Amino acid sequence: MPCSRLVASLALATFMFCPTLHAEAPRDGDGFVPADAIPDVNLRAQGTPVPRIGRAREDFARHCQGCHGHEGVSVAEVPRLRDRVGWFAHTREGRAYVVQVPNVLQAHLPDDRLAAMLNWVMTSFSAAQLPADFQPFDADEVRGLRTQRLDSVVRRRAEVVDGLVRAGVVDSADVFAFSLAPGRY
Amino acid sequence: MFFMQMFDRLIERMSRRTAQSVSRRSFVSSLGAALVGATVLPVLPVARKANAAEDPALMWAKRVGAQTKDDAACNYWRYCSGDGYLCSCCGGGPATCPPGSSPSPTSWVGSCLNPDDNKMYLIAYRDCCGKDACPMCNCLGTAGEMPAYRPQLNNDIIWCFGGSSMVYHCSSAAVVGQV
Repeated sequence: MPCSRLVASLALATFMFCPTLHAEAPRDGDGFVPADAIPDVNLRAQGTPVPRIGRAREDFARHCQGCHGHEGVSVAEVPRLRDRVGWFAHTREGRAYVVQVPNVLQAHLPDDRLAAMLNWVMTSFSAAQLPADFQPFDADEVRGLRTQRLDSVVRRRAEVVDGLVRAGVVDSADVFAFSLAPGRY
Repeated sequence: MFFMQMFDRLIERMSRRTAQSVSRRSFVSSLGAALVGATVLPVLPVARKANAAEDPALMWAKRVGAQTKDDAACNYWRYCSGDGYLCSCCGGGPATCPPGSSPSPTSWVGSCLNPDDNKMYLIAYRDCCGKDACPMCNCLGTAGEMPAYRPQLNNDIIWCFGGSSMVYHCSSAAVVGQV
């Protein structure tokens, strides 16, 4: 009797607070906010609209874009994502690699948000390179892959790229040109 | 005296009635539920969320009295996670490099609260490089900053890498978008 009452009261408490929890639901983040709608002296002077940022794009911005660039293209020291990263989804090793790259593996993000962010990166930057039957990442796959750490990232990358060439996904490893040589990391 | 007796009798009658209709077990079980509830409720995600340390960007905005009008002051709302000399004090703007320096191709991204619309915005902290340091308006905001072993979330790093020069001049803060 006390147990059932306790369960009931907990259920009620959870139910009552549900709207708060649901406020964390994914944001799409489409469109722009007009500059004059934002209280900021400089934005109003410039008049440039400000994009609305969805959850996955925010996670990319906070954890990746500083180096990879907001368009997925950056300096020579940072591998480009745009028109390239989707190739990795063609093989099992490639899928694993994009999760196990150290700053993805160790990102301050829970598995479900990391999966959503990876899917956003794949489809936003490199949809044309994805396999026709691309299966989005989910939290379970990401959780499993995150438990395995790569010892030498650059060497593993070279192996994965070699596998993509051998599988006929790309013609040449040059597609993945990157200035760091194997063995340095 | 008469009144006191009346009062005694009334209370006695009420107690007896309660004792007859309510079992001791029932009282103990309610008390138990209340005690357990009091211990369990704070562990629910809801309560944890409510008690979680306030958002660092919100805390910063409150502490410094963030404002949206003067970008040459450390408490301008976009500087919640910036560290360095304000480009606004060095001949540039909050999102533009002073003449003679150029924006780094890399930056780190934080989020700040706009105190006037109470919304969060992503801010790119982009260093302006290629010219000696401009030692004006040194400001330090640490909202959401991580230690240097999380370099993409750290602002002690000179974010000039990838550009033509690693010489740091000043720090800018561009609005990336509204979250």
